Amino acid sequence: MGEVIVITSGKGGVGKTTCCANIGTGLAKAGYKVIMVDTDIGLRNLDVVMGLENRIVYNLVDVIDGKCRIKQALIKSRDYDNLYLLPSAQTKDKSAVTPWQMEKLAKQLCEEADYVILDCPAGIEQGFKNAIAGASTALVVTTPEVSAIRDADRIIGILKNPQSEFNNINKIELIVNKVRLKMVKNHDMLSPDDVVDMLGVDLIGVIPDDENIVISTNKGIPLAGNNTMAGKAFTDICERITGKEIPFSDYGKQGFSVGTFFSKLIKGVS
Amino acid sequence: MVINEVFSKKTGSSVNIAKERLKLVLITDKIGCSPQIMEQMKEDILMTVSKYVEISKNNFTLTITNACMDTDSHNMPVIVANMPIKQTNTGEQYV
Ligand SMILES: Nc1ncnc2c1ncn2[C@@H]1O[C@H](COP(=O)(O)OP(=O)(O)O)[C@@H](O)[C@H]1O
Ligand SMILES: [Mg+2]
Repeated sequence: MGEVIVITSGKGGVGKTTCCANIGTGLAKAGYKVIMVDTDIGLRNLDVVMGLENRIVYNLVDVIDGKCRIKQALIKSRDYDNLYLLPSAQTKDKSAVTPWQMEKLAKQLCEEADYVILDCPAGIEQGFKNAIAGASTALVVTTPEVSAIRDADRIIGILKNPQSEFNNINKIELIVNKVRLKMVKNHDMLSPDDVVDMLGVDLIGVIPDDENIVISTNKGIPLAGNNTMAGKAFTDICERITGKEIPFSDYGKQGFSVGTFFSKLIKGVS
Repeated sequence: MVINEVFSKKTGSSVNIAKERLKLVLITDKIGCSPQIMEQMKEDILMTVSKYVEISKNNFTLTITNACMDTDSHNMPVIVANMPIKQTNTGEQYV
């Protein structure tokens, strides 16, 4: 039985889909069998970030409506035999899927894979409830900005409350994305430490704001594992997901002090 | 004064401003999220104040804002209670 991980944020545009594609790819690179699910109905995205948009035949709603079997809808990645995408539907009807259906689907998928990764839509409405319904772990993505952190706090509040609807989450970890080292150094951007202090959840990774992400998205080839700042940061996250103790100081964390990591990197930058 | 603060790195970097604003907004979001607690607090305040003056219950409002008039603590959330007085204990009537 695999682990079901939802990648969520509250605010849009903070990097959920990017994280999903890269964490999925990174875990597949490490040899795990991974199924990624785009749960953003009406705003299909993960397929293009993965470069798989031309291969879609069936989608999430087809599977749930019983129009096809799960295996028929799964698209295998170009580079890894153990990495699959279940694409979202472009239907206008966002209520086409219920949380109970998603929970059932997630259970079926985790029979087949080591990791099932759900890309969650923005907001706290139906799509969010669907996405969290089947998951046991939540990775909350934020950027070091006031608005994104505020929304992340709302999401964490919902996920931490056992009385929230459809909430079976028992592990919440934080990804701080789009970090600009120079700005952090100049005290013009909140540091990952600051963000962790504000939100009170454990950090699982820090991703720099890296133009290579834009290039990789242009090509439809995720950069996890590549020799870029963001590529390495995603590898670290994947290793931590699989239970390895990756110190943030090896390019990451020393004990728990991201500060050390940053002062090191900043020295390299300036 | 506010503009000075935004542009002066000495009195407050933009990170410090962000931290202050965030702390406030996270607190108020949380308090604002629980109508039960607000209602409970309202009841308690009403009970206490009513020992001294008679309050118009229907027009009693309790809100949390961040606009504190005291300049030394302009970043702190404030609770504003609006309690129209019906009658004082010395007998003066207003309604
Ligand atoms: N670390 C990063 N560095 C640079 N650009 C990024 C980074 N993370 C995400 N982006 C860009 O930000 C935009 C929004 O990202 P996306 O993953 O689609 O967000 P979401 O799914 O949360 O709406 C995309 O254009 C993406 O390429
Ligand atoms: Mg997205």
